[in-house]
Amino acid sequence: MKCRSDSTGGGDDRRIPVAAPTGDGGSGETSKKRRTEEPSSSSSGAGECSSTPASVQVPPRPTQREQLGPDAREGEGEQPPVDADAGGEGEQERVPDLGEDLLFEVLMRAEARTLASAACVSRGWRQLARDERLWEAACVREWANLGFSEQMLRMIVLSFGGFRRLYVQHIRPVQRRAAGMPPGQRRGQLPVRLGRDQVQVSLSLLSTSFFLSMPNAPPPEKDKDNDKDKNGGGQCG
Amino acid sequence: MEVDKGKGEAEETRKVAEADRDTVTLKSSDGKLFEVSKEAAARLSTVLAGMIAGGSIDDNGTDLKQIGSEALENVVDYCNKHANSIPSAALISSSISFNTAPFKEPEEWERKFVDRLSHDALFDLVEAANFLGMERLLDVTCHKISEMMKGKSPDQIREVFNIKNDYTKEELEEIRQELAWAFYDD
Repeated sequence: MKCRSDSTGGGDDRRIPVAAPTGDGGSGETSKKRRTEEPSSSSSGAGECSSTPASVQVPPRPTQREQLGPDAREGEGEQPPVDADAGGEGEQERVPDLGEDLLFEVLMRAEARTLASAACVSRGWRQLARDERLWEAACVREWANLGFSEQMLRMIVLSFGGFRRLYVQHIRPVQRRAAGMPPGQRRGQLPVRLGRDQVQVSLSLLSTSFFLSMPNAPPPEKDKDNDKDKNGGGQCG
Repeated sequence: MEVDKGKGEAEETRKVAEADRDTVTLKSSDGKLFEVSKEAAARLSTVLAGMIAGGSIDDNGTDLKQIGSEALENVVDYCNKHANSIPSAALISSSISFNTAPFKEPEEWERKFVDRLSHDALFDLVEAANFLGMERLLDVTCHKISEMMKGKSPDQIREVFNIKNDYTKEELEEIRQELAWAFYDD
């Protein structure tokens, strides 16, 4: 499954997310045991989905499951807390631990900055925090207040490389500019909140870089059309 | 045949009897019983709604083996408070499973409800809400936890969640570079 498009280019997968997470069937081996007991639960479809690739793709993540150790209720299944490289961790003081699915649900409600912090917590968390849906949710939530419609944001950002990529690559330069800071300077206050114009610029940067990186890149003058691309982004998708 | 028929009838009368009651009894993993309004339970929990509709509610206490008594008490408390304070079903329908609808801010009472919980109780309640398919409660509790993380450094988050830092220095530096925009103030 493609739920965790850990790359930045998962645009197309992301277009059908509404349908995707509802499929209990697809969630495969890692999905929670508890769900087998409550088939009618429609709750964390997204989280469920997110857990699938965990076992598929992530070598350096034993920690995540291990931390489930204290939580006997859900740790039972496919991954007994084997220790790989992070031994001993499960035996710390008993602090209740959310499973991956629930942590995902929590992160779904977190701001982009919190996602960034979360990514620095541990390898397991980083893997989780790469999920495009988290960045999308944060982005849409934060920017909806600036008058960008969800639909438009999704259309543009997903077509041009994804929300996480947008944050990673195209927010900071705009922040710098807003703060009047030269590109070389490393430290200093940058504004957290972007204004509407700055968001526009970020989106333009995103779409520009998308076009520049296309295999048969269009001639440079095409860049001038960026504003139009916003409206017609869908056709590129 | 006869037996089946008799069984079916018994089933039928049992269901009728249940339909007459307006509460359901829930039993926690440690055997404590809690009563909650059937209407609220069905409205707030997809799982309980399914059980009620399917007739699998036990008068003597429906076993919820995954939920401890403290968490179940909070669940029931939430249901009662919800029934008292919110007339509409609008909140419940704001599904969170894929954040298409923006998260609806917790009501004042919901905020208070989760604020008074200890760390442990909150985490247990999240799990209970998830288990019971209580979307709104899951929403509110997860929101609370995400607020606990807000503005915190990775170190502080590790502390709250009791996570060991398994990064190497180089890895951490690399990822901080990547996410540099988020760490403008250090």
